[in-house]
Amino acid sequence: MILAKDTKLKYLNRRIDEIEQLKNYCLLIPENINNLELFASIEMIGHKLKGNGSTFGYPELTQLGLAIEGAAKKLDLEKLRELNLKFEERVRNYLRLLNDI
Amino acid sequence: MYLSNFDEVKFPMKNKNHSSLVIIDDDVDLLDLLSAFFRQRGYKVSTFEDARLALDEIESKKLIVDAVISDLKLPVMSGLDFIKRIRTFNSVLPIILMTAEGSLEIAVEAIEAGAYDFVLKPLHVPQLLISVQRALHLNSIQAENANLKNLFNEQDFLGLKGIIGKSAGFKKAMELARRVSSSQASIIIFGESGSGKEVVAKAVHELGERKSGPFVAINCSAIPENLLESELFGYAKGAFTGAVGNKLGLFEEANKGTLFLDEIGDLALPLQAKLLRVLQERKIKRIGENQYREITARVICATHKDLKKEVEKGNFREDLYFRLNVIPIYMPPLRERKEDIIPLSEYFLKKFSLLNNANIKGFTKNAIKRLESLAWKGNVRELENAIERAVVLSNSEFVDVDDLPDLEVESLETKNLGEPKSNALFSINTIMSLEDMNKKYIEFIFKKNGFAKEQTAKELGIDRKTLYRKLKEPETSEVLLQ
Ligand SMILES: Nc1ncnc2c1ncn2[C@@H]1O[C@H](COP(=O)(O)OP(=O)(O)OP(=O)(O)O)[C@@H](O)[C@H]1O
Repeated sequence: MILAKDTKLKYLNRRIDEIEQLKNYCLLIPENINNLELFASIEMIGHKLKGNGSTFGYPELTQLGLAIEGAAKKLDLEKLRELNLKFEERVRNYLRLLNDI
Repeated sequence: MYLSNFDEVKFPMKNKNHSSLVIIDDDVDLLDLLSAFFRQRGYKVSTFEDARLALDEIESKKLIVDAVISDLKLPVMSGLDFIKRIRTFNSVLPIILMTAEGSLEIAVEAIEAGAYDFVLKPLHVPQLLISVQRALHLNSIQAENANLKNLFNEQDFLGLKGIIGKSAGFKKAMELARRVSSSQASIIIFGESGSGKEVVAKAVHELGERKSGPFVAINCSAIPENLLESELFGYAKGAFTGAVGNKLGLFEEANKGTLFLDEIGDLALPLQAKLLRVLQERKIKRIGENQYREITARVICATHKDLKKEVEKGNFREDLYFRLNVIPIYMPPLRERKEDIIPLSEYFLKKFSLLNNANIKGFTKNAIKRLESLAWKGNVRELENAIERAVVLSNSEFVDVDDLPDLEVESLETKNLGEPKSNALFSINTIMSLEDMNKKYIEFIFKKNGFAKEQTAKELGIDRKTLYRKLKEPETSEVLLQ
């Protein structure tokens, strides 16, 4: 299915917001005793990304979503930081490509 | 390549749909995408991030919805809980679940809870569209069935479905049927062909204790004598050439139920004697067997003939007549209970327009006048056929005179047989064999009489059996389809 450019732009910009959210969560976790809830929120973001990436034409984001969901379940903060960097790099790259058109 | 909207080449939007969808997902990106996709295809879409809110709107009927697409994993109320709650007050609304969890257990649980379908995320939107289309199709079939059921429930008489009538004659017959249903007394139903004798017999069956047993009907005049005997009594293997196995007769088949013997007046004398014995002894012997078997079926007979006269003529055994004639029920012909014509017509109209998916709302004033003025020689059966035909032929929302069969004109034509007419029996230029002409003539009279067999046989001077035989000949039987 071919989507309109605007639809994709909107989608990717929302992901940028999410990436910022994820960064915040990752910062908050070490200093917060109730961090299980924070992990659960990250897991939710990963779960959604897994569910919508391919639909918007980005199968790689679905894979990343799967990995983020898994790392959050395992409470693996290091892995989450690493995955979020990848996530940001991919999304910015997609945005650049899209804006070039 | 970017299209301003979705890819129109792959997903043409010709058949715009006006169904309303509810989509529930906490993923706003997907909500936006799906609502745009379905709106462009003509669907009315309402979106919710919280299943509870959707549930409230649907339950309070603020939102009329044809199908729901819901995510499984939702923050406040899960998709599964949503389905379970919906099912407490609506058993048919199709709900399609979406999930990013691909496990079989969850799919099974969802279907068990009442989900119509299960779609995996990442979504393939066209697949979701197909699922929605299928769900809506199924829903429309279910709604149609429910409408039919309601129709039968609405119009019942004595709590029986699909039996219509308000005339005194009809009510008297049905009231008697109700009273005798719990007794063991012999019943015989008199009435012209198509007047509803079988309907009365079924009512007796349904209202009595035999309701849970079978209702077996046979028309004694439609089957040759020797075959009828084996049909009724059954036979043992080897009883005659061709009896390759044991066969259960209808008396036994109707065990604990009702055996309806229609056109009993046409039963041959030897079989009349056998029937009398069965009714007296409540036992039968299969052909070729010596052993007697008890029968428990209630036997109800019916005839269009005046049995008393048949007794006088020596065509019907007097002892059998008295045995049967304990409680006679008389169903008057339709022309003698004109008050039933319109209720019956309206009922058949609803029934056939539902069955044919035709949106026909009623009859024009002229059509009603016409319905009331026709003779209905074939009685309710003829009326039913006429309405079915009108529903199929009608081009407007109301059945008009033109949609009704031209019964009176046809009977005028018979009086002027000599004049060649476009739809007269035959034209002067046609050369036919005597046999063909014979067949054509039978067809013609049968049609003219509105397919009433009794009247046709009478006018042709043949008995009903001969008429049945003639009508069964392949070339002739097509008249029944007209
Ligand atoms: N009161 C009624 N309400 C609804 N439908 C009826 C009613 N009476 C008759 N019908 C319908 O008319 C048709 C003919 O009825 P039925 O078979 O009972 O007639 P019959 O007198 O037994 O005819 P025959 O002797 O030719 O077999 C059936 O399709 C039946 O369902």
